[in-house]
Amino acid sequence: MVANARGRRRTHSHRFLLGAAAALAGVQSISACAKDSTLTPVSDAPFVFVVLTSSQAPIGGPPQADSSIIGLLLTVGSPISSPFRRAERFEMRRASDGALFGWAERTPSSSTGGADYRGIRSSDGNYLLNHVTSPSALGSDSIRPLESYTLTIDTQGSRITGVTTVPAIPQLRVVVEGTRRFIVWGRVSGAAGYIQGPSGFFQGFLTADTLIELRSDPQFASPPITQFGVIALDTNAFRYLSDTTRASAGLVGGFGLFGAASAATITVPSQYHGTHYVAARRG
Amino acid sequence: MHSVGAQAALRGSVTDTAGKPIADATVSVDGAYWQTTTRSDGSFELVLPPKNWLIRFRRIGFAPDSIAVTIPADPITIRLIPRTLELKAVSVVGERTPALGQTVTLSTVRQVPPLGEPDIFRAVMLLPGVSQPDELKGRIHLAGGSSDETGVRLDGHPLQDPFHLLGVLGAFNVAALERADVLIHHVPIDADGRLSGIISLESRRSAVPVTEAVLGVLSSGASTVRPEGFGGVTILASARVTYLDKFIKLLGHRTFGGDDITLLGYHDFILRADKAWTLGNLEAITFSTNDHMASSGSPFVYSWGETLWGLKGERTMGAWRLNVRTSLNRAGSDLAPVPPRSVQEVRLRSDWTSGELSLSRASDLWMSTVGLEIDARRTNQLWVDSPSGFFTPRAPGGFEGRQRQTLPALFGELSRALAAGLSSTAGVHVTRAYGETFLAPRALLEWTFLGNHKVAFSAERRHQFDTELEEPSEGSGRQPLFLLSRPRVADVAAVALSNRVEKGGEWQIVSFAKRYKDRTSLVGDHRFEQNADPSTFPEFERIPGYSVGATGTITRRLGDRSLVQAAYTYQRTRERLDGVYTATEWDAPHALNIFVTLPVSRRWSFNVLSQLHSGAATTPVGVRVFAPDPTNQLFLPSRYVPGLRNSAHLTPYRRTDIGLRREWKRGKADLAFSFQAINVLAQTNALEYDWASFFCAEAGKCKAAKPARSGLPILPSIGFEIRW
Repeated sequence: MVANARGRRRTHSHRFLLGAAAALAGVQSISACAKDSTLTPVSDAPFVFVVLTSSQAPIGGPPQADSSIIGLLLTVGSPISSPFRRAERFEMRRASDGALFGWAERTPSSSTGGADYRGIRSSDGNYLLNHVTSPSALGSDSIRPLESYTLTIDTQGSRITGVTTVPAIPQLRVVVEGTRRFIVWGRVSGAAGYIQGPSGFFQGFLTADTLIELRSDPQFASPPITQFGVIALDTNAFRYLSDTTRASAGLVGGFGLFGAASAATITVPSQYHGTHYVAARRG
Repeated sequence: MHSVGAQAALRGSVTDTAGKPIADATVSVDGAYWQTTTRSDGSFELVLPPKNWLIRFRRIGFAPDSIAVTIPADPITIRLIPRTLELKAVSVVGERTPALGQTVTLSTVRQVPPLGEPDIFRAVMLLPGVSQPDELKGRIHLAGGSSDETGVRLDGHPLQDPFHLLGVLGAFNVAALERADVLIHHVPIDADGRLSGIISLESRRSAVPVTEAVLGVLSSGASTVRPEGFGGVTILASARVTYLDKFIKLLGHRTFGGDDITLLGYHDFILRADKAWTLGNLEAITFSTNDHMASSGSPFVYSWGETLWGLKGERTMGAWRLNVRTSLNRAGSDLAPVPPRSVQEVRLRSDWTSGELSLSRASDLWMSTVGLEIDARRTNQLWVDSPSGFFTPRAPGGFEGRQRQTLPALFGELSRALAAGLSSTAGVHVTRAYGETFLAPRALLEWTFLGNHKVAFSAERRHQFDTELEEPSEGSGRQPLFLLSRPRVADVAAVALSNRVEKGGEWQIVSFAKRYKDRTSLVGDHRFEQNADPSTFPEFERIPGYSVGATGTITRRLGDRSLVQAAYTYQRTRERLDGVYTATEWDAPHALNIFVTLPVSRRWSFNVLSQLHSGAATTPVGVRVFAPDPTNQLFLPSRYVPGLRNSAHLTPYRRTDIGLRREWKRGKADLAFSFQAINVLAQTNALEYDWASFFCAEAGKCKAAKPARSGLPILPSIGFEIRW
């Protein structure tokens, strides 16, 4: 009698187990059919990337001997492909006197016809401002700190306008306070923020601060810091770089950036060579 | 009405079928508001007018019972029949559960396949209306609220940060806990202060000596309850310590052959002493938790935790009952700078002193409570050179500030039996803060009909006088806390219908709505500020929002040892940012949890838990642009500019956990062995996508996109418990 009762209960349990397993599997497979709701947008809007510099090109390209400035004009397209775009008018002027700069279309070396899903080389833009000023138009050597510039682009029915002001050049100096060593540059006129980093500029960090501290640390394996660079960014460039949710800065009518920057470097005296630097608090 | 002079004491005791006393059982009078609980020796006393009364006895884990008595009456003894299967249900509705509340028991927590070891908060997640969109972030969202709107109390004392392992696990040895009441839609009048609700934990009570040791994968712990020991004092002592850090170090060296391994460790303890007299009791508790995170190859040690000292007492004076409670809680985290390498430093301190005194009176038709409370809080917070995302996504790299806050409050509540089975409650909680008075009115209506059917309606206003900066990042430690001079405000309403069938099971349907009048939203992005100015930071915009939803729970018992429980939640949560109502990041419209326990043999049981919910809310790409990366100047990488905030959801979340549990007796000891596996079907649950990989796959240049962050992989574990 006891055995029978046990047997009945086991059968009941096994049926229940199978039913429960089937129900769980069913619910799981239903949920597996649900589609990813992430969208892939497509846009016909234009994208512009132009950064003016009063010194060697600090962002958007490596330092160049002739300091030509390369600009990008693209159609945003999809997250996979953004083709180059032509402008009927690509015009930049000095705000103070309306003097015209000599931007011209150039042929990019890229075979992709624009940006692919990864992005695009900054040196592969389709517009160029030559370094040298000619009788008919100004070149990048005429770009001066604390001057403002306007941009107007007409492209396939869209008009893009923008304004930027080039910041002053940072004045870097080494300050020693007791046993602590700082590189200080103070507030730069026209700058909203900075990219700072050791020589080579390939390890820059965005900051709103105006000093860093050099530290010696035998445990730190990197080579000593012998040179240090700071790039002052105008409001447009700092906003565009610091806020990764921002689609445009300094422009109306299109995506991208019309900004400006000024760079400076300092050679760290050998007795102050740091092997490590940190954002600093005084005191 | 009955005069006090005519009343007489009804004395008695409650035991189980073996004659062992049952502590903390509820003794109530049918059709009246009088009630009490049994002492640690199972005894009770109720003062009642001379009349025929039906006395009801309830205790979770036992079938309720009742007896008719005529006052004056001789002492009575009631034997309750154990109903252990009920304890295994994820949610227990009714019995001593507060109105519109749900209860998770210790047995449930042991039954649910754990993440390494049993965790009360992992079991709470399975309740309807409770959500956890990111399973690697153990913070709890109640009815669509943000996680800092959820309060945690231990025996009525407020806690601030009871989590281990960077918020992944709860900081309680479950053997030291008896139950967790999850109060979302209606909170007790003396527990105002959290917009979304409270998880009210009760430490373990037992009328007989119990000692328990638990060996788990992550830690080992021991607990003991010694009732009525020296001087008649009942002691609960519990401690737990992990060997996770040593385990990781050992595994890390062997696996990776390196020294730079992140080592996480923790320990916690609870010590409670209580003594009961005929007309009252006094109880003292201390709870402490500490975590440390270190790297085996670096001198940095980041530690955090909290300590609670609490005292409470109760005194009965005829028809009056006086309750007193006071506590001091200190929570903090520390990362000391290690010169000369770094100035990185974190020092967060948050002290919370609270006191409460209330007086209540019950009669057959009325019950009233009045009281006063005071909360004094103090914060002292400093952090320097913290990496981006260390706290919340937009927290600055550095900050130093102090705050103080004192909040006196009065509260009063009146309940009235309107008709058979129908009762109403109205009350108000009045807080005085910074020269202003804030009123929080409340109402509750309960109607029991057709035997075991019950309808409850609740509406109340809630205030919260603190906030975190924003929802924290995954893997972050204790959050900075900011005290507010103007509270966050929410109006909450809910209606519930439930039915309890004595042997077959129970069901409950709840519909709720919450309107935020004053949510906090951090203004600005402070990631690039190394030193935020305490005179201007943080600035919070006050925004409206709402949360609406409905939940359904059904429990079905099949035989003596089989149980299936399913809980479904539908909820939407929106907040208005920049003039537009958008979903919150923890918005997950659908959630379904199914829990099944089955006997495999006389000693073995098989437990299955399946969780399904909508994928995490995500912000889709609105447009792609190009921006220089300061670390690579030659290339303009794709930048994916967000579209409408949280307007899409990742793929649905699915996870199935299984557990085998063997329980047997050896002499006087109860032993249990468990083997469990989390995510046994190895399902990948995306928590976040890396858009570059995602679109690379869409462009056909990469293999199918893998999530940048996924939920838990397959995680097997074993556990062993011994109780005597």
